[in-house]
Amino acid sequence: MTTIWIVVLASLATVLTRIIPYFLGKRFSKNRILDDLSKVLPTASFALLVVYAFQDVSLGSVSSYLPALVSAIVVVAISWKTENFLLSIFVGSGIYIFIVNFMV
Amino acid sequence: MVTFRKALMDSLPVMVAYIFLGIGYGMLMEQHGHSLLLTTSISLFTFAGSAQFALIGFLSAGITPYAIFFLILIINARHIFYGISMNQEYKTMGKWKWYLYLSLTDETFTILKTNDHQEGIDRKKYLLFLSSLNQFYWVLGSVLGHLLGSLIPFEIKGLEFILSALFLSAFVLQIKKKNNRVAGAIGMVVSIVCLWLFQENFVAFAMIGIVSLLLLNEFRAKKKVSTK
Repeated sequence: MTTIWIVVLASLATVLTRIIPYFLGKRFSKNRILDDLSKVLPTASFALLVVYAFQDVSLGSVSSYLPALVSAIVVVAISWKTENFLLSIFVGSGIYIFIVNFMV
Repeated sequence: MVTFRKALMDSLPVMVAYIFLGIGYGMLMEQHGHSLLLTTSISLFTFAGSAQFALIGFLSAGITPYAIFFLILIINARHIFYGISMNQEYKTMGKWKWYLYLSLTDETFTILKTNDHQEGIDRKKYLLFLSSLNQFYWVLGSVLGHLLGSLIPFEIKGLEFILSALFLSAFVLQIKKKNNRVAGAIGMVVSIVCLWLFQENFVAFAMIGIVSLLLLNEFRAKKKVSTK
């Protein structure tokens, strides 16, 4: 029984974080603040997600940071040059997966 | 049809990542003795990867339900940024908006925002196709992992990098546009400083810092315009 209760609460907490923006939007519909924020938040969110995704890379261990660094550079270079989202993701992660499975 | 094909194409990295990470999740749930029904319902109704993995730990650690509620709230707080960014668009979606809000993961948000100027596709359908495809992959992976987990003999390391690459590429594409660079710099610097200060609990702190600086910056920009 406790398990079900915990799972319901966990879902509820997640739903809350996803639905709060809707109510914020209603509450501040006459205010420009949210509209202004919504234009700059995506870029800032992606920055946050990048740090979030790379937080476990250990700078003290070459076998941890080198594959991540090399692949990240490839992703950045392809994205910047070609603006091809899918290509940069697949080439970058292909290189990463190859290195960590066959070279380290 | 064109719209569906585009959504399917754009979801490919997430397809690979969610199915394999979902398999990992389903396997772990099964190893912890949870039922297939539980695995499936959590993936359907919570649908938040990092929170779901954390939840497995919470369940076996015997933390009280209310503490779990707040922990999950903190883990998922970053979703608030995504919803705020999507409000304008979701407003036009009628009753479908509820599904779109509730299925907005890190990855779905990243793909929707990165592909927001496309000709020849039905944007409303695109939002729905992409969101539901991504959820489908995650639920499919979870179920497969739960059922067949023990039969999968090999492990491919590093698949989670697909998601890191997704965020990194999205970030680069944003800051190619000059007027996004201040927001990008604020997001990057605040996040790194907060990670350094607060380690794995940095996200909520970073969010507060990011919003404060972004608002301050908007305010300054407006003041400059009005004094000119």
